[in-house]
Amino acid sequence: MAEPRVGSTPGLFVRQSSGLVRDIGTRDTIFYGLNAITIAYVTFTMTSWAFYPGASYEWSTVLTTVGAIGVGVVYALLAGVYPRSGGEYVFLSRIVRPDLGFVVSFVQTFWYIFYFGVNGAFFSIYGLAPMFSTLGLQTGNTALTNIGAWFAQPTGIFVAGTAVLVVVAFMIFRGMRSYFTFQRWGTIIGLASAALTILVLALGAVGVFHFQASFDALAGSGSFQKVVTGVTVPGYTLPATLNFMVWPAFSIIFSVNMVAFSGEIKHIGRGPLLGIVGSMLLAGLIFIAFMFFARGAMSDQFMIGAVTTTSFPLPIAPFINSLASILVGNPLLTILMNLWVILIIPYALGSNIIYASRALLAWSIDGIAPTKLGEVSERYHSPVVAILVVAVLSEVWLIIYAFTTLVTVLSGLLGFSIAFLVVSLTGIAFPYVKREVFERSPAAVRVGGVPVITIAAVVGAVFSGFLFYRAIVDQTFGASTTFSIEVTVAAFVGGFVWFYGARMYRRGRGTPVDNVFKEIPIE
Amino acid sequence: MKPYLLGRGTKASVRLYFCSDIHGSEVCWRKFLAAPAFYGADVIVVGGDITGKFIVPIQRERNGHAQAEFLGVVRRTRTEADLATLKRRIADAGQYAYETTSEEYAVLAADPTAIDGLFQRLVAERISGWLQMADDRLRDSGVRCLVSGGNDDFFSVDEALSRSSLIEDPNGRRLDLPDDVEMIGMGYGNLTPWACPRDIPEDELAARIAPLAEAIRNPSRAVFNFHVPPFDSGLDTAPKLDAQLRMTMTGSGPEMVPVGSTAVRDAIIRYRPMLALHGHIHESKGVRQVGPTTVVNPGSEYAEGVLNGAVIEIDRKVGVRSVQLVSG
Repeated sequence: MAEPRVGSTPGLFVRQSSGLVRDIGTRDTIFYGLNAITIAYVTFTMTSWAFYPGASYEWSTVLTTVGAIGVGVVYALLAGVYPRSGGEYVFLSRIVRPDLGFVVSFVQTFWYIFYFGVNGAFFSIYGLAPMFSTLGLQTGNTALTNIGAWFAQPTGIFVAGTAVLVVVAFMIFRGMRSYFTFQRWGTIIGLASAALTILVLALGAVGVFHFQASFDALAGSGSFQKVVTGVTVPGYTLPATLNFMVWPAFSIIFSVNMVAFSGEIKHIGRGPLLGIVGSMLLAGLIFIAFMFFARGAMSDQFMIGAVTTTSFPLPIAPFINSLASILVGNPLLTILMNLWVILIIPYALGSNIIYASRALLAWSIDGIAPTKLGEVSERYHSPVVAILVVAVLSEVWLIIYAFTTLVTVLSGLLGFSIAFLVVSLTGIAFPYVKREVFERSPAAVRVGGVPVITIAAVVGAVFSGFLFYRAIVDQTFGASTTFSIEVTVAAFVGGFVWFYGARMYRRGRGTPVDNVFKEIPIE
Repeated sequence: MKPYLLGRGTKASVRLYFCSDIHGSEVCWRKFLAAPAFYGADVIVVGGDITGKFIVPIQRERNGHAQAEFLGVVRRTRTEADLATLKRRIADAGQYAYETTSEEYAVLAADPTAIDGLFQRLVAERISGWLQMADDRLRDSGVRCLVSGGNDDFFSVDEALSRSSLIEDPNGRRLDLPDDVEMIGMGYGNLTPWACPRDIPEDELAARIAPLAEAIRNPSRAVFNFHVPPFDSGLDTAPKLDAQLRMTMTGSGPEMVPVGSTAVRDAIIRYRPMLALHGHIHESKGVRQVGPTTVVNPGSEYAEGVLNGAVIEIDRKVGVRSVQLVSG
């Protein structure tokens, strides 16, 4: 007989029994959260800032972090109530309705499939193209410059995107263990590369490196001055600062994906909560550090002029990884300072396909999707059909992104913000509509008599609602298109059609589907 | 076999409802007893791990108020009604409320043997109540009710179950079910990091399974009701733990590894039953095929008061005709 002991929760007695897993360490959860945030997106976040005259990048990032934490706290607390993988699918099915849970899961999965393809394009546009182009300029090697330019063109985007998409899908198919090993090292090296880039920018800001001189040495004497001439930096305004929030939000909020790692001994104040909040705060600081030191090193005028005028003389896009490489002027450091984009984006792809294929598998297990989607490789134990379906659909999105202007970087934010809004609204209502579940859960924490989850959910709902609105109306830098909006609506409606279509089909074959999700009534 | 799909208009000969790992949850037990009516099941089965893991001491204060830490939150009650509600919530989460004083708590906390005795007593009381409840609700219903202990359960659970005139315990024996279906049960499991009461090495587990499996008359009508799932079946995937029993994290979540039993897998492959029912790994629900055998783990969300189960249609001609996972 195993010896009982006093539990790690004060006052609790615990006996030796299986499954008593301790909470995940804070460091690990923050690491996971940072991975979900994809800090490589700081490249286009900084570039897009130039199109929001009067926006304070830093304050916008701070406000985004606060709003994202509101959503994140809701996710973390709901994960404490329903500590099972499945995320929104589980919360919403249990608290609201199974059809809504499925629809939100469907919408999320739809857009994760989209980004599995589009992240392939990002890998080429924001990773390979800047690195090769900058190396070509620094070494005087025209071939490298041409390769860089090719990776920024539709064919190059398609080829590089397809390659990384196939590699990542194959790694996931081969099983998660080897993928995790690669991912851990890739993320560590990527974060080190990002830290190096921030350090270089900081050294530029304090005068150790001189951007103007480095830029002129590469682009020709007086080039820097040409870029900044006539560029004015408007004073900060609140509306512009708020409007810019869609960009940092596009990264920072995705830490909420870390929702299902609670053990059976629940400490709602730890684990996912610390991981989500901690990684959001850290990501916010990283985003701000990039911009703060970039301003110091290059000036606001240059960063705006390089993007919004035609006077930028180099045959490369003025992304921060390229500009930082120009600042230091060393080809080896150029390679090292581009690794954070080249390594982190493929792992964003990995997260995309893992989420999407797991969702397809879960639907299959619940009988909402064809059994075929649940087929697992005998050899590698991975959901081979689901992975294949995700990869093929993603390839279609990659082609659309590479060869048309129908969709943009932020197209999916519209769909994602619907999901975050629905979850936040659910969080507001949860303590009142599921009072018994709330009261017996570890989320039953109040401040001034008001449930913490409700307070956080109000912040999250306002934030998500604002993102949703801005994602519809923001035409700046191609943030949204009519096609994106139409696809978003179609995905939402399609989720309902799929859910009820599957039920009708299965009911027609004699399966008692009405009781699949219903709570068993007890006397 | 096509899981989840039923032939139109045909009727299965046996509808079986299976769940597992309810771990002392009062509300899950009540739902289990209501499952025959809700799902139209002829046979209902709990596949082991029916006892809870935690005792929640409730400390009474001199003013009649009480307080306890439950699920990481300190809960205070002022009235007897509030206290009763708290106790019900603790029971529904599969935990055992125990009214005590600060003095007694200190004594208990310093004495593992006393805590063990307290666990034994509280577990026995709840099981006893459950048996009575089953008797009240299912007697004369015609429903077969099968319950067994799992690797987490004290051996005293077997003795308690044996006292029931209604509940049958398939653990370590062969049972005949309707329509020539036969079932063998095994509550022992392979070793875990927690040294649970019925954790045994794989070779010992294989030795316990073999005579049971040999007693099967017709494998194509046989059901293996083994608590632990077969190794590397996709139904045995759990977080990898470090030496401190923390999950090992990756950038995409906890690293998941197979933790099922090789002995169980070997037995399924060798004896080829039509159906194998498992629990044990709460987070690894699903339906798979191992050779001709349909293998099921409905998972468990007992702490949230959700009864995960599987409704299984068994047909005389085709064997397992459908498996529908349900969340009650």
